[in-house]
Order: sequence, then C-alpha cells, then structure tokens
Amino acid sequence: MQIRNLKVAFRTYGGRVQALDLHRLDVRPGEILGLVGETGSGKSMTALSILRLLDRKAEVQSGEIIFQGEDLLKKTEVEMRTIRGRRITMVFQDPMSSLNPVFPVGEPLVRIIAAHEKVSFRAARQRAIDMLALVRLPSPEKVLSAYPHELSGGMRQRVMIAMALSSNPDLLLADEPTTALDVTIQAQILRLIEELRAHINASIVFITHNLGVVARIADRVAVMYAGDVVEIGSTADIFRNPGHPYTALLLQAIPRLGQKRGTLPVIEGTVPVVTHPQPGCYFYPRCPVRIERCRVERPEAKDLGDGHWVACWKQDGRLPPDNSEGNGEV
Amino acid sequence: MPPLLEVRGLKKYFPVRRTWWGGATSWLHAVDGVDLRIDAPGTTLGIAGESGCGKTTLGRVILRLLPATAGEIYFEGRDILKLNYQALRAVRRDMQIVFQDPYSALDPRITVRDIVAEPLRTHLHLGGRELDDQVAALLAEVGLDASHIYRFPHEFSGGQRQRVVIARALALHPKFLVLDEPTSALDVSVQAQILNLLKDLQARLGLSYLLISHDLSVVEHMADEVAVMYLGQIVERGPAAEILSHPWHPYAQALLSAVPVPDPGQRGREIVLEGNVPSAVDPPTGCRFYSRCPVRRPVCREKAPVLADGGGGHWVACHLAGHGT
Repeated sequence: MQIRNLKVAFRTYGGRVQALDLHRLDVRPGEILGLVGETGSGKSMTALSILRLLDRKAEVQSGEIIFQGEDLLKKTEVEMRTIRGRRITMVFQDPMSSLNPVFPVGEPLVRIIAAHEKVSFRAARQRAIDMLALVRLPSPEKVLSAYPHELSGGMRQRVMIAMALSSNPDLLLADEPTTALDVTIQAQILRLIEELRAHINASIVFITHNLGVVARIADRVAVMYAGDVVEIGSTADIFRNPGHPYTALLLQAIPRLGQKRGTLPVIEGTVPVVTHPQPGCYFYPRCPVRIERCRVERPEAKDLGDGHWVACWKQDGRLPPDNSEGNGEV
Repeated sequence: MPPLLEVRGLKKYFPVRRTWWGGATSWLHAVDGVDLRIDAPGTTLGIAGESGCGKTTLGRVILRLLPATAGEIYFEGRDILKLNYQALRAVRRDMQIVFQDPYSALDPRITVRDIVAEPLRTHLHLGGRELDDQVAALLAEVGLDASHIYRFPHEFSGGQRQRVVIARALALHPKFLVLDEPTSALDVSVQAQILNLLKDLQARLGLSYLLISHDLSVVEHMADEVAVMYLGQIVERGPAAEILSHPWHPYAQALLSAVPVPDPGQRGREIVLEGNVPSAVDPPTGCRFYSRCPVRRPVCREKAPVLADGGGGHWVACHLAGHGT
C-alpha cells in the first residue's frame, strides 16, 4: 500500500484544522510497520482514512491511497464494503466498546465468517472455533458462547484479533491494540502477534504511542508529527540512529529501566494544532537545531540509505551530542 | 523522630454481594494487610502493580479519602484513623493528592484562579490581595504563566492541567503528596516535563511522595524505595535500585521483564505469564500468585508466604525467594 500527499482537514467552530498532511507512507507486503506519534499527530486519522471511516466533519482534500494498485479514495461506498472488513481489517484500542455487550462474542465472529465466505452456519461456526484456537484462547467452544463481560481484557482483545483475521485480510490496522492492557497481558498479546505472523500473510500497521512496544514488535517504524511522517526506517535505524531531531528527543525523554537520570531531557512546548498551514517545518518552534530555512520552507523527505527517510533540512538532522548521562544507547 | 508515614496491617475490603437486608456476603479484598513506611522527608516511595492490585485504593485509604477496614496509619507519629474531624482537617493540610486524569480532576466551570484558591480559602481563610499573590506564586512554582490565572481548564493542554492540579495540591504547603499515576494520561514529551517538575519541587520543598504507577520506568526514575503489589498485598519491597535490577519475587521478575524497552536489541527477553490476575473477591488461600507462577511448588498452594527481610532492607514474600526464574 502507498499513501501519497494525503490531506485531510476537519471543519470545526474554530475554523479548519489540518489533521493530516501526509506526504509519503508505504506499507510493504507482510511487514509490521509501527506508526508512532503523540496525541494528535494523525496516527489514527491515517488508519481511518485508509478504511474511509472518517467522520462527516472530516474532508479529504487531496491525495491518493493506493492499495494493491487501486486508489481507495476513488472507490464508491459499495466497493469499499468489499474491501473493508475483508481485505483490510482493523483492531481497535478498547475491546470492550468494540464488542456488543448483549451478544455472545461468537455471534459477530460467526456472522462475519458466514457473510464473507458464504458458507453454512455450521461451517462458519467451526471456522470461528478454529480462529479462536489460533489466537490461543483456552476452550474456544466455551469462549464462542461467552458474553464480553465474562472475558478479561486480554481475552477480549484476542477475540478482536481473531475477528480481524477471520477474513484472511491483506492488511491489518491495529490501533493501540495493547494500550488498554496491563503490561503482563500486553506481553502476551505481543507474543501472540509475533507467533501469528507465520500463519497469516497480512501486512500489519501497528499504531501506538509507546516506543517500547514498537521496538518490540515492528520491522519498520514511521514517526508522525503534526499530521506528517517525519521519519521512517528500519526499527534498528530509528532507535539506534534517529535522523530527525523529534525522534531523537522523544527517545531521550522516556525514562528507561536501568538508567536513572537526574532530569529528563524535555521537548519544550506542545504538539501544535495546525489551523493555518504554514510553509515551514511544523517542528520548527520546538526544534533545538532549527535553521532559518526551516521556518520558510517545508523539508522534503530524503533517503539516508537503506530506506531510512528523514524530513529535515539539517543534512542528517542529528542532534548535537547530548550531555546528560545515559543518552541513547542502552 | 517518628517516621513521616507508617502503615501497619492496613486492610480495605469492599462489599460486593449483599443479601436483601443489606449484609455483605462476600468481600473484595482490595488492600489486604499492607505494611509500609516512608522514613525520611524528601523521599519517594513507589507503588508498582497492575490494574486491580489495590494500589489506588491504598493511596486513598492512606489519605483517609476512603475508610479503612482495619490497620493503623501513622502520619508523623499520630494514628490518623483515630483522629476526629477537626484534627483530621488539620492533618490534611500536610497530605495532598495529585490525580491521574487532569481532565476530570478540575471543575470545568471555575477559573484556574478559583481552583487553586479554594484550599487557601477553606483552610487559611485568605482573601483579597493576599490570596491573589499566593495563587500567582503557586502558578509560577509549577511553571504556569500569571496571565493564565483567569482561564478555564478546557483552555489548557493535558500537561498544563496537570500543573494546575499540582499547584492546587501545593497550596497548603503539604509535607506529603500521593501521586496517583500522575503522568499516565499524558504524552511522552509532556510526561518528561511533569516528572522533572515533580522532582524539582521535591528538591526545593522537601516533599515526600507516594508514587503510584503501573509504569516501572517511571517508578524507577522517581522512587527511592519501591513496593510491588499483587492482589492487595505487597510481594516485594526495598531500595528502588535493588528491586528494579535484582527482583526476587517471580511476579516482580515477570512484571519487570514485560516492560517494553525502547531498544529493538532487547527483544524476546520477557517472561510471559500465563492467565490473568485472579479475582480479589475471596482471594485464594496460600500464595496469591500461585495460579500464574512459573516456579510454583506444592507448598505455595497451602501456605501464604509472609513478607520477610532477605537482607539489606530487601523484603520479599515468596517461599522460594531468590530461587526464582
């Protein structure tokens, strides 16, 4: 899948807010792409744009989302229905609000399978049980007839993953799938996703704000800021050798186990809300290495080699060496 | 001098099912026999644990925001569970709380000035010029601009709101703050700002913190001492550096290893626990971690381990202490 120059704006009472101004994002077949960024950076908006599930107040102004050679933005709603939930599926953050509390969890699962594969109820039921076994749920027959409140958060999220995989999709969008879970349960789900990779051939876009989770699961990482990808590259490159000052600062700002530091380096200010699109770099006001050019001209993404793209005017955008102890390297 | 805070045998049970005449038939053991202490002023005790382990309830019971079922809480040598209303009010000046969610902790209908001024009005009966000066000083203390004084909470970002919550907690010059997940609703870059502010305030004002957090990296960054909770009980406690580098209890080991580290080179080192935290309603006899423990033995099922000093102030509640995974 390829996204090019995608612009999405929201109409609000305070005027138009530019939610996405995404120049370039590619998802390779079979990879896990980590999409990271802070609140309001446009991670979820990207996923919703791909599925064409944007709110009515949102408006796609321009751009294209090419999925298997076809532009999703040119599809009609009827055509989208053959893609959404079949070829592209989604797992949301909060499994409790994605499941209907008055139906057993198996109900939607069996129905999805029956509708998509046009098989008998009995065959769909058997497939549903297989799917629940695939996500390592103990006694899948019992889970099938359990109500959402009878399952724990981790089990519900497993059901959601089973549902998203039941149509054998080509692309799975996972929007903060482990954020609502405890760390020990999160570890279970991350391990499950890793194990499932062998059984499915879907690309996974794993959206999260947690850099630790991304380091754990992703093959490549895209860092978003103010509606655009500022850096993309292999997980090792992003974490060992960040090219954009925002990525570097973000990595320094996390407290890490095993390295106690007196004060944490901070990024001054907050993530901007883009009401008036500006010509320059959106990170300019907070950037410690900014130059005059950054204010007037939007940096284009440059390839640093090995598919490591950085949108920054400073040749490689590296920060000057940080003086606080324990910088970067673990 | 008595320790700043000492908690002995603290229990908090919530009734879950009631008979029709109102008697409880079963109890949720949210906090079940917790001992802890903060000796020196200006230090931080971190409480780590997953959701449902009772860490938030513990914080609220210590401040007497919830009544305790049993136990003793000594604040500067006085058992605050035995204080009457008047005496409790006086003690409360010294103990304040910072809540997790700065969006629901602030009244959306009153200005920041009134939010911060409220404790000054009710406890110190300040007014007029004096009150305005104090509010301005407090806002400056937490890094907010004096021009923000007449704004409403919705005009602030999450990080700024948390600063307002901290300013309100500091208004009466407390000695002790309960920080209940102070940064878990915030973004990474803002989290660093708030953690730095809390550390800076501690150094300048000599505050003691009880930091409640599920995020072990935050606990390690802030705390001098750490207690790890599981199902209402402390399973391990001791100096932060020691606990977070050499945990003995199998739960503490698994919890620590499950924290995703922002370093792709450290993949696959986590201990993945089976199953879920069991219900705190009528918890199991024997070790509460038994059902998920990777190194359990028959003895663990029959006898509950007690928290014992394993040397160097490192306390652990496990029959197999030190022989873990």
